[in-house]
Amino acid sequence: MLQAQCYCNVSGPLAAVGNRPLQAAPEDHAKRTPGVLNSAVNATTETDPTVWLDEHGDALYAFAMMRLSNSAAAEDMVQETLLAALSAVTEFESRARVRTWLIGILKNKIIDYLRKSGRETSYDPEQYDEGDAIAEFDARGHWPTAPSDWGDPARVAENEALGDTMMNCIEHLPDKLRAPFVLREIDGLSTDEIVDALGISSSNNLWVILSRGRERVRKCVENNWFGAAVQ
Amino acid sequence: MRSCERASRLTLIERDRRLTWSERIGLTIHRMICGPCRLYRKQINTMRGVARSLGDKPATSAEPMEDDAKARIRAKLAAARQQE
Repeated sequence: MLQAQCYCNVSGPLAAVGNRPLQAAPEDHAKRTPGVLNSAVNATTETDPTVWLDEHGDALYAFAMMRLSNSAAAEDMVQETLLAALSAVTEFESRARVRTWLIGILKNKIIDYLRKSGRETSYDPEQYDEGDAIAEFDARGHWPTAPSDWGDPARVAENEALGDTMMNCIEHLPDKLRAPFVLREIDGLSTDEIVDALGISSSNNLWVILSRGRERVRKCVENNWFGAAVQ
Repeated sequence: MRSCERASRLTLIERDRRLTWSERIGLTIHRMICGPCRLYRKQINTMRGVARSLGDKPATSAEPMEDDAKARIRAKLAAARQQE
């Protein structure tokens, strides 16, 4: 359902390619012949890294920024991803969408990068005190306003408007809450992997960070999606 | 467990760490008598399901990569292809 948009428009980007050498399509079996314009135009577009940059560069960059919050690092990750994709282009079969394939490479690059550089960032400032209330409660520890009923989780999860709202809320998280949230909830890393990748000092700290992130996103969705969803 | 505050804190991390036996019992009993905390869990679970579908969703407010950055990458790609 999230693939409604087509990222594989061949007509537009082709114009941008001009007469740069195009790469032979992998399914052509023939060895790659840079400099030779291949007749299989569609397949060629799919496997031309320059076209990947035009078509997927911004999405890859946004993906990296969500997790790194650092434009120079994000640029590096996109570059490394496309270079890796270029050298692996013969292994690529059209079984997967190009975007999905590239994002898979990028995700691994980001995790490697975080693992190497994560220690520089302190994820453990004093404000992460487990004693702090995470959501808001009255003096007796009860809800001031009860959470609303979003409906059947399985069915609601299919709701694209909810996905958009949630994405927006995640983007607005503070950097230090966002990266752990995204790695855990979207990328599905284990808590141990995140502690390791981000250089968080203890699992305990990560639980608090994740709790804060989740509660902020929940509240944001509560305020922005449900209102909008009521017609 | 009487407080919703404590119940919500456990709800937020129950998939991250194994709750202790007494935490689980307390949470279960609390949810039996507390509608808002049941709804809270439902919201958190819904979010978890939605998050998994956001992997290749383009960020809505993300800024595009700068042209300079694209030019640098394009040059690198061209150089890499020359070497092949």
